[in-house]
Amino acid sequence: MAGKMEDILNDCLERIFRGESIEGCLASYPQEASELEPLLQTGLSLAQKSAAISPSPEFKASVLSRLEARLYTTEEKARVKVPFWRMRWVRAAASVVIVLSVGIGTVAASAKALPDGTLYPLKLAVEQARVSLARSNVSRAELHLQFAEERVYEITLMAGEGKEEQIPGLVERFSNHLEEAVGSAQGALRTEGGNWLAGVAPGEGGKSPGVNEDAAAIGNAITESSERSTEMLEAALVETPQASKPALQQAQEDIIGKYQEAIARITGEQ
Amino acid sequence: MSVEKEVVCRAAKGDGKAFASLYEEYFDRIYRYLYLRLENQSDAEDLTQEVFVKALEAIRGYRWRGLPFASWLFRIAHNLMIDLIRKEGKVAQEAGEETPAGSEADPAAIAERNLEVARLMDNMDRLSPAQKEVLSLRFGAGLSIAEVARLLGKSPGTVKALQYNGIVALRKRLTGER
Repeated sequence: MAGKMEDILNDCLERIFRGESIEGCLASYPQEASELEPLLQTGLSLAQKSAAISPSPEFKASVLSRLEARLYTTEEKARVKVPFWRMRWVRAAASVVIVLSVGIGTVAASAKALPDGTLYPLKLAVEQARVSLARSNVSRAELHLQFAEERVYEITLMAGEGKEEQIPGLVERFSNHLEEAVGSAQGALRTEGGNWLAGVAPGEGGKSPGVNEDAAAIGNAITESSERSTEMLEAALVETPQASKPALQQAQEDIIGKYQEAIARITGEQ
Repeated sequence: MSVEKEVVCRAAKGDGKAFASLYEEYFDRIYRYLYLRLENQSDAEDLTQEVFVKALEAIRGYRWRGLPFASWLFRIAHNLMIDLIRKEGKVAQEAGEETPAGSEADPAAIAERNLEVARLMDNMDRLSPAQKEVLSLRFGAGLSIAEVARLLGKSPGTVKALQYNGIVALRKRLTGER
């Protein structure tokens, strides 16, 4: 009997792991239901409590950075023998280490981890980890805007290299970052109250009544980010090969549209 | 070729993107398993890091032999955990002494969750080492019966029995508390 119960319990646990209800499992084993139910409740509770155990974002980010540093060191040692295709890996690894070690780098410096490079997913993971470490809505929004601008820079690079197929994905990532920045401002409003009044300086002697300064700061940052990205895209259009220009122009239109939409949402909150 | 096999083979050839994918897939599960076994956040963090450093060093020599990659990675974690216990004579700390940090922002939610986890650790501590190992691998790491059996060198029937007896023992602990 015990052997059978072990199999039944395991069958039910597997089904619960896949999303089935305890009741559904018990219905399959009516004769064993009274013995089975408390065990399944315990198993479900164990699964739920175990799922609550998770590494802190700080720890996860630090391990990631150490692994990247180790990757970089290993590749550097073998540099003489490294074939050409691996050089991009080394460059990308170096750029991630730089981003981690010097903090928020410039768009130009961090752009060395290319979207079609082998370590690009690690770069995105580091960005995510850094966002998760942000302690305020403003710093979170600033990071998202920095990464949104980085995506814009990568778009210009990909267009310059004739890799238009990379552009739609980058535009989508850019949009996600911009959306997160707007979301951070909305979070500030929910937490602190007040309104946006982006671009309006507080009166002399401190806060203006009713103005949420965090939300206003994020609004200003989005406007400034829009200006920088627009300049970057216009400059790139001059240098981009003719064949890649339509893709870059489409990206430019989408990006400017997204910025305008974000700014309109902000001003609409006033 | 399965998706995992393809990713692992690419990682073994030095593909950083593939390794990153494996890192994302397994990092939390390795940490959760080690935390449940060691009952100590600091040790769980140290060993989780060591698992991935060793995996990074060894993956170029990894050869797919039809076994899930999880078996290979959790074998590293299991061996490191056994080494730590043997070397330092680690004894599980009192439950509740340390709690996982997690990523929630709400202090009340964190406190409540940590209390739940502390109670879980307290109850897990009363199980036999073999039961605790099986439940940690099943519920913490999310491994299948077959994967746990392979990792521990036991038959699936034995693993199912350890799982059953462990849950029965946990149930008794929980009802005894009430």
